[in-house]
Amino acid sequence: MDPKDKRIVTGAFLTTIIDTVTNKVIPHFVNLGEWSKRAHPMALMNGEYITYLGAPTGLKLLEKLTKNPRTKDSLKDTAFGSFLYAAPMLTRTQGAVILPQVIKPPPPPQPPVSVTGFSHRMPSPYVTEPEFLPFQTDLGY
Amino acid sequence: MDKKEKDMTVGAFGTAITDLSLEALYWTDPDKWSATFPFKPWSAPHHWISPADDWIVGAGIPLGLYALGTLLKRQAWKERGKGAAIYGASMLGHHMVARYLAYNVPKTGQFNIDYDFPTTNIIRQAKAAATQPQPTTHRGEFLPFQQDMGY
Repeated sequence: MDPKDKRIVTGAFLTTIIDTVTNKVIPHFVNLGEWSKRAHPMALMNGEYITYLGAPTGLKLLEKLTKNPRTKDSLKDTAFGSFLYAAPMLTRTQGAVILPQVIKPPPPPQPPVSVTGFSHRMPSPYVTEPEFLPFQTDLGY
Repeated sequence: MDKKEKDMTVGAFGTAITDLSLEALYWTDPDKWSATFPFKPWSAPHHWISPADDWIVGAGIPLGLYALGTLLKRQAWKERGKGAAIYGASMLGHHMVARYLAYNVPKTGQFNIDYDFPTTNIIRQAKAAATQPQPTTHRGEFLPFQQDMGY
């Protein structure tokens, strides 16, 4: 593994650790309020957006602000590593939240229909209303 | 972005989209797929280990791409494999930590694992069924519906 690869892996794993700790481990134990809220049923937690967008952007910003060329190069690769985890993960996680609300599973099997055309689960109109069954009404009693 | 970085990005995004496609396949019929490969959860006490679909994406695809690069002697495919490995290994680790916490550590916060891992409900139901006392029907004892019958 060359030094560039090492820095990329460092950036990716650093972002993974930040994501796991702030969005899974801490919310498991503590109520984080707005951080763990979802703005919409199809949205991720606010904290997940902050992590996935903030970590690579923050590292890139740090790279821009750094004067030392060696540190600048190093931060560039680390920021790329962070992006390499965060961007696909954001795509995947967002998709996984939207999919169940978009894809409709097949309907459950319907109950068998009787020969009279009424299902066993449907109330038959001949039993309750009218009081006499149709074939009895002509008999005069 | 140089050539190496482009190839790694392609590998990582390709793997994420494959992951998402498997997720979509699951949602076409959750009842069927929950009990079927590759979505079937591991049996107790290994619920926290990701199901096979995550391993296909997190380990199978990166290894496949890297092996392809080695066989064809193409550096581009190796880089795609590396990109896939960075996404895949991170995703596997992230998911397994979350699953471990959900199944083995009592929850005191508001994190809802069901949102991220749909098969958790099935695991929870199986656990509840296993811990519920079963009705006993020893010989000589009356079953509940017989007790009112006077003999």
